[in-house]
Amino acid sequence: MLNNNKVSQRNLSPFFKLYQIILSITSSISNLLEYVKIKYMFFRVLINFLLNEKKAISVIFFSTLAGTAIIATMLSLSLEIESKIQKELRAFGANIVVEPKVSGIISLAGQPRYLNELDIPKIKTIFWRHNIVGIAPFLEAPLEVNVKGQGIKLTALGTWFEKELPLPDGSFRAGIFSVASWWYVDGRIPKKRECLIGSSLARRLGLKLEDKLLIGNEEFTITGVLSTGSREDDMVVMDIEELQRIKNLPQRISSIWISALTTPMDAFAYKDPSTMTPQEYEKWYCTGYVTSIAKQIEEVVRDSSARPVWRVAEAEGNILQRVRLAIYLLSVVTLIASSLGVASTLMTSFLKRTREIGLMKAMGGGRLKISLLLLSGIAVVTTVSSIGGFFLSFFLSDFIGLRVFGSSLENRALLLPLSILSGFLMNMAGAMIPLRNVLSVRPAIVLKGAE
Amino acid sequence: MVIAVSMAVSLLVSMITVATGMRKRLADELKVYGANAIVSASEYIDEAVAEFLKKKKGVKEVIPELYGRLCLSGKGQLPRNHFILNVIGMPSEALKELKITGTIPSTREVLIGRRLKEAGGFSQGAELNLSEDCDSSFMERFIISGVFERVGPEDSGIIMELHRLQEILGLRGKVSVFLLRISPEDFEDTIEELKSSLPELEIRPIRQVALSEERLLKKIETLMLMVSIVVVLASVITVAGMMASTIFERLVDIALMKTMGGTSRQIQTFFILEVIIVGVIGSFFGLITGIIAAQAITFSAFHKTVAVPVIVIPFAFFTGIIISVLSGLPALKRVTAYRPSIILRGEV
Repeated sequence: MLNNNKVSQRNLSPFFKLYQIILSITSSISNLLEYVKIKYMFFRVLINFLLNEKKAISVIFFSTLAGTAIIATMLSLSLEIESKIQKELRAFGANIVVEPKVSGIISLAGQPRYLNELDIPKIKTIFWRHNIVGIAPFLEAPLEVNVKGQGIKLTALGTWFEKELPLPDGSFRAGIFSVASWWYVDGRIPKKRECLIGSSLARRLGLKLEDKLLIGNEEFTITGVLSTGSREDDMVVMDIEELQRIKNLPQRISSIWISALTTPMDAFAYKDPSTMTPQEYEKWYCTGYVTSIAKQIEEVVRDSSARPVWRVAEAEGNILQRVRLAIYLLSVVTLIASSLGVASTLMTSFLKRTREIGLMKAMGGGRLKISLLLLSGIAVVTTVSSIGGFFLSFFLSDFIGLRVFGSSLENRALLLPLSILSGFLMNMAGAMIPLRNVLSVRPAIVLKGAE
Repeated sequence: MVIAVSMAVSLLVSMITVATGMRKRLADELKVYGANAIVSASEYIDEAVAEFLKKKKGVKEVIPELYGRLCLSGKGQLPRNHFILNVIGMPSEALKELKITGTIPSTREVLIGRRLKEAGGFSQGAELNLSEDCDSSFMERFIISGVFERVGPEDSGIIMELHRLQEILGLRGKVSVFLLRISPEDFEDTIEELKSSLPELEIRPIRQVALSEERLLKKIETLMLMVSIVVVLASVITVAGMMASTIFERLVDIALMKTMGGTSRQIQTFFILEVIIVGVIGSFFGLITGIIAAQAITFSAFHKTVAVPVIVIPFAFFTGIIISVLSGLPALKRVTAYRPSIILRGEV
């Protein structure tokens, strides 16, 4: 029931929402106006201001509308920029590496340790399974290769190129390009009895596409040259099954790369899980930090140690924070500029009312009362226009979101009070100087018509 | 009116300046991503090549690394009492940039990888006996000053100061690779230039870093561009509103001009001239405040000032005038269409 409501509300077009709100506001206001106009002097003056100062009001209305719309857009942008950009970059590379657990230095020397390939599908069963967007296993092994009649010792790397991973609920497209989209293959992806050759190795050995390598007594055809700018440039790369077969290591893998969408690390996330209270541990475990996702992966892959790739994650966080700050500051500049605009408008509007104000003063109106009267008119306009600005920001943030991230930004209800607040801040600040000027008029002089 | 125009212009100027400066500032910031290109050879490279590399335009940082193997000797837990370790030699400036727990190693100290630490149960302050090869009886004693983690096979090895490693391996003045930090702006050009001037070496982009930098920068650039467009559109609306209201306030002037025989055309020309002057003055103030705002923003976000692109100056005046004329024109058209008698009687 509750869910249904949410869906239908979301389906309403913002135009319709806006229309509804304006309609209800205007009808209730006009009813109220008639009543209070008769009853109270205060409201009579207020209403007269709203009805007679149409030009000033429309200027204030539009500048507040524009100002609050920009601010609400900037705020929703800065709230989401981090997760949006992270998502984009995540599609780009692995942020968790799973390796066999080591214990005793003997595990590093001599017989290498392996993980089991059959554990990989389990990674898509952890609590944060939907955040796992890429998986690829590797098997690294020394290999003796015969190139043009010469025996050479090389390192071979086996991985998945394109792999449909069967899962209880459908399937998942895994493979090297889901975790390392920077791998560049000049040629095509190898199949059985085929392999890629790293660009440095190719250069050194003078190998090119369609050349043959003799591995054991099998002939492998080079179908592409791989460039990564990293260790793989010195390796022969093939499908993991082929390497497992050649080296007689069925289902053995030496590492897994995983790309996961994560919650940015905060102070809490850096706490050592072993020192946490049970409640804290539960909170940590159930938040999608890169560390807690790594921990959950470790739990399902036997004898493994899963480590976050820190460098990348931290660099991104740092940069995005700065961009966010720049956007905040730009909103502040917008706020100041808009309030200057409001100030200049109010200056003329108030000046026109000096006689009225002089009269009020002469009749014994205190500064406070008069200010309240003048400001309340502005307050009414501000409230209406900043609500309008909030709704206008829907379009603006959609405009920006679609163009920059290819998806619209989430509009948060939280931004409504914030846009009203910023509208008030802007207009009240803008009203201060004109108000001071107009309050200092001397009734006698104004009423005589000298000023 | 002047305020309105200068407001719009200053927003525009600050947006453009911040947005264009952003790329450069972020490119500096991206340093933390690490090197984005690697220079290697089939054998060792002469360390002096670093000086040549540093002089190239776009090359921000050159870090030499030497890769080798050392024999770790010890009784008890080690198989056959010794164990071959991969070792990386780095200059001390680069050691400072590493993510380590512990302290930066001096010449008698080494850093060990996280996996080596976990496997061997070594702790900070422990001693390692290292030698160039396992048959030699000459061993040097090193103290573990800390643990590093790079996530990769290096984590099973050790890191030490470059010159120390060169001495031990007998490779004085030689390195295995140079890791380059090239500014993302002229990445392609620099790589091409290096390739042609150093044909005997292999220069490769580290694609993971280079490509993700490019992507991030592009995203942020489009973002700032979009934000600027939105802000400028919104400020034009505000300015148009203010212009219209000021022109309406001068209805009486216009009516008088008309009764005195001024044609609509003459009056419009007069007002447009005035609006242009307003535009120029407004743009001038807007330019100044905009530049100040941009500097303030860039300084507080990136702790650096931003170079103001010269193009901004004519652009500011141009847009200032255009904005004021465009926003004044519709109001002016309407106002001059009124009949003077009606205005002067006070019916509008």
